[in-house]
Amino acid sequence: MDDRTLNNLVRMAAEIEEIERAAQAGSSSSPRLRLAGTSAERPRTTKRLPLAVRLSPFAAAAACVAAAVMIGRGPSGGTPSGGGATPVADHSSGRGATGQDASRENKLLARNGAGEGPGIGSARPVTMTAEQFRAFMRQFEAPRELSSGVLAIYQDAAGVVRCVSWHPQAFGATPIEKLEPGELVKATYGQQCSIVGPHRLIAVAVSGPKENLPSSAERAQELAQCIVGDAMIKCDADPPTLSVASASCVPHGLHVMMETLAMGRP
Amino acid sequence: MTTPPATGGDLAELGRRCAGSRGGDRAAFEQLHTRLTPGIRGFFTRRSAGGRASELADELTQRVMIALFEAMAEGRYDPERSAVSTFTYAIASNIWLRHLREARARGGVVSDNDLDRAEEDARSLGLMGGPSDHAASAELLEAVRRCLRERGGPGNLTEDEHTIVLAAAAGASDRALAERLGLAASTINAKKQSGWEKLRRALSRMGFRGEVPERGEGERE
Repeated sequence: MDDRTLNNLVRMAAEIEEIERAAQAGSSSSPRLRLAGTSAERPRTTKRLPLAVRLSPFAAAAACVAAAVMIGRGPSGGTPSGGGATPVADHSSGRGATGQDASRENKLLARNGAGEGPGIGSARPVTMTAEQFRAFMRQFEAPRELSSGVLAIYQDAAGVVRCVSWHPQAFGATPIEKLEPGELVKATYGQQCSIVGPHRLIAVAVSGPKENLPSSAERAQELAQCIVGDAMIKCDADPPTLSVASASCVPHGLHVMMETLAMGRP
Repeated sequence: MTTPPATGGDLAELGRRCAGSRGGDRAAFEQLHTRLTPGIRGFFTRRSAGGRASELADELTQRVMIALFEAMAEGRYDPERSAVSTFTYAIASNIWLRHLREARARGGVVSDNDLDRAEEDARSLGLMGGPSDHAASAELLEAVRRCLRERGGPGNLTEDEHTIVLAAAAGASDRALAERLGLAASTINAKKQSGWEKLRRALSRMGFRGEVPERGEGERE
């Protein structure tokens, strides 16, 4: 059995421990894990944004009036249904120790903070709970190279996709969430594609781990077909629908921002 | 004779009741469903994102629980071979891989990275062959859990080897661990290799060799 397989199995074993911890957290008979000599854990609270804030991006998009030039901005992707946050799924979140006995890890880890002399296995008191150890583990997760790009999809008046172009790193280091309204379409329109007659530009900005971004023209085309195809199936291609389609088509771990620009429509 | 897996009391008892009744003990299965759903949902949430992440996690979790119920009804789950959480994890891994393959076949955008990782996990578990492998894969995973969990147990890892092997599995590089722990990177690597070798030998003694869980000639513990 090679090292990689063993490493995978250990990781999976740690995930199973997470599942069991979640299962035991739901059991009233299981004692809560806490440091010896401390008070009980604070209960976790989950904040939820007010309903108005969660719905506001869609409300704003719906308020856009069709005009000679129409600019619509969709909500950020990666939004779980009913939620307002924009999480980026982390492949490795939740991974951690098979920390049934936290003292095993703590004896090695606590030594580093105390400045005491080396001595692996020195008997120090427990100073870290299993949760804290998992948080400690997470800081070692290999950072992934981040990147961004803009997918420009041009549809004619019949909704047929006439041109697709992919613009990697179109905004350099600027996070796509910081783009001003209209900036996305302004930077993208007319680049590489030139369409005659009434048409619409759908500009989809994505950012996240580089390996999840389109890496070729073919991948960009596939993504475009997914976004437009999904929206067409819904028989509705307004900005909120396109935005949801965008978010559901991109691979996990990516932020999505979408704007549309209609040219020549009444 | 295999040593039954040691898990949280309630969960193990629920698993035994469900297995023993071949799914007939509905109350037990409902409790099992309630207890396992959050963790399984977390499994899928960590692997997916986008606007449909929550919906997808719910859908796949339900598929897992249905598959678990079917496995119990058909007598394919043996609580003596693996904990119910481990068995359910094997099912979830297989369902995740199938989901990615189906999504790609439908023309959905599935990153090569995601699919490669899911296939690698399935290879590590010997799940490439299909659902009938769940029990064997779960048994392999349970053996790994025993090696990591039991002090002085079959793995017999030292505390350092245990910590470093787990940190490496979580993605820590030797260099990062060395900086954090104040050790030389070579020391970290040596302990990691030592930990892996102990795991490898312990699993081999228990009859697990290679990527596919197959039985060797040696004795089973």
